Amino acid sequence: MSATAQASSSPGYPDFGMPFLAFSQAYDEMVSSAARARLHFIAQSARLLHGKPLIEYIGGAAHPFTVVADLPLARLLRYEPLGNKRAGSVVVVASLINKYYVLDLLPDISVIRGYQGRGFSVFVLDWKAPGAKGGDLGFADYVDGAIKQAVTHAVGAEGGAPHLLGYCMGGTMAAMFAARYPDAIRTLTLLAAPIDFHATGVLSDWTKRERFDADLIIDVLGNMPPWLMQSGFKLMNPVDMVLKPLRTLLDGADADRIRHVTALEAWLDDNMAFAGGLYREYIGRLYQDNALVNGTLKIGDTLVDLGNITAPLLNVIALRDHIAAPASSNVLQNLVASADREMLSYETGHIGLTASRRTLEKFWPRIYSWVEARG
Amino acid sequence: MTPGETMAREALATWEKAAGSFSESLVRDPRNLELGASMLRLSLMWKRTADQFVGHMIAMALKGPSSGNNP
Repeated sequence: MSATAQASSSPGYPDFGMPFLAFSQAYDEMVSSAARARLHFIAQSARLLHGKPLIEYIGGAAHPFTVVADLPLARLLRYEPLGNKRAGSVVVVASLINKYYVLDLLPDISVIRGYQGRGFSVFVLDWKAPGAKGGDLGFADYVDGAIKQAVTHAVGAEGGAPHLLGYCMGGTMAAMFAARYPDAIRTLTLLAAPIDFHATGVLSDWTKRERFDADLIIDVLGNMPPWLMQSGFKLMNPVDMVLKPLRTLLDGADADRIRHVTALEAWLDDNMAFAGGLYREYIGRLYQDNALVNGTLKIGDTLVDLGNITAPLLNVIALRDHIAAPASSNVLQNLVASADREMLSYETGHIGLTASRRTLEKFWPRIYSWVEARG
Repeated sequence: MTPGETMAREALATWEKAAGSFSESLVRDPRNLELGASMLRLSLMWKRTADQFVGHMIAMALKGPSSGNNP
């Protein structure tokens, strides 16, 4: 349990908070199922409108995996390497609020498949919904707990330190892990990972301490529910809510396009609550205090010093990212001690970085090659 | 692509650009941010009050009638 979360948890939370949180979790799952049904309805209507055959049902990860460990905060999934080549392992840390399978969205749009094809075993932390214990969780539980357990598992299974890949806030936590356990990983690849939280763009504005009270949200709701987070993300670009269904109807003749839109939108609506204790730390210490860059973030009793990162670093930036603006990520290059560090950027958005066919074809081979070269 | 589809796409693209920059200015306007923050704070405080009331009522119901009222 994190000290910060413990200290700030609300004594006034009503006794029926636990049933409320259990209901919240069921409600979140119901909302995502309803969203998926709505998206398929729009997709199939578009196909019918253009006189084309319907598309198959799309949902969840595109490729097979095995569950190799059931950790307290996540299931650890393993994607086997393809072919005979063995290149070591990659541990993937995705965002906590969206499901990891944006990295394995469709048979032909899959970051994970690219690693598999190059001989890597891919271990993925598939985060669990925090439920009633969310208020007690903090960075210590995720960084020193789940990520460490996944890395240890990968070492046991494959031998040798794994490559660590973090996406979005999973990237922020992967950077924290690399700072705390510099020898535990072979390389660190960060995708659209916010580091300087005062430069993330509109989210920095929204979460300023004088107007945004994360403690009040968690005191009242226990965890940060996805419906509240999603309404915030949707407000960042409200026009999209109207345009997306219209575009889908116009694109109905193109089956690949319709599959892609359906898979992506279904993923966007498949969210989890943000653990309450972690949310207090994430907003309070990172967004409001910018503690990671200032060097004042503590996990347990020790400071997280990004200067301790010595593993080869590949910092990947999406130039049109509105969640982790480029200025928020590229600052890391000057904070780490890695002699081998590189930054790659591409003209795409936060999600396009991992879920666009064009990005996977044109840009990702450079990322795979960088990791392979350091195997 | 039919001429109708082309026109629809062009109209959408134009509207998207205009509406996008308008909404961008709205969500960054400090007055709107203050308004949104106040509405969120109020709704959370309302929920907290309602939770405490319901919690209190449940506690009272579980406790049952006090012994002082028994004959």
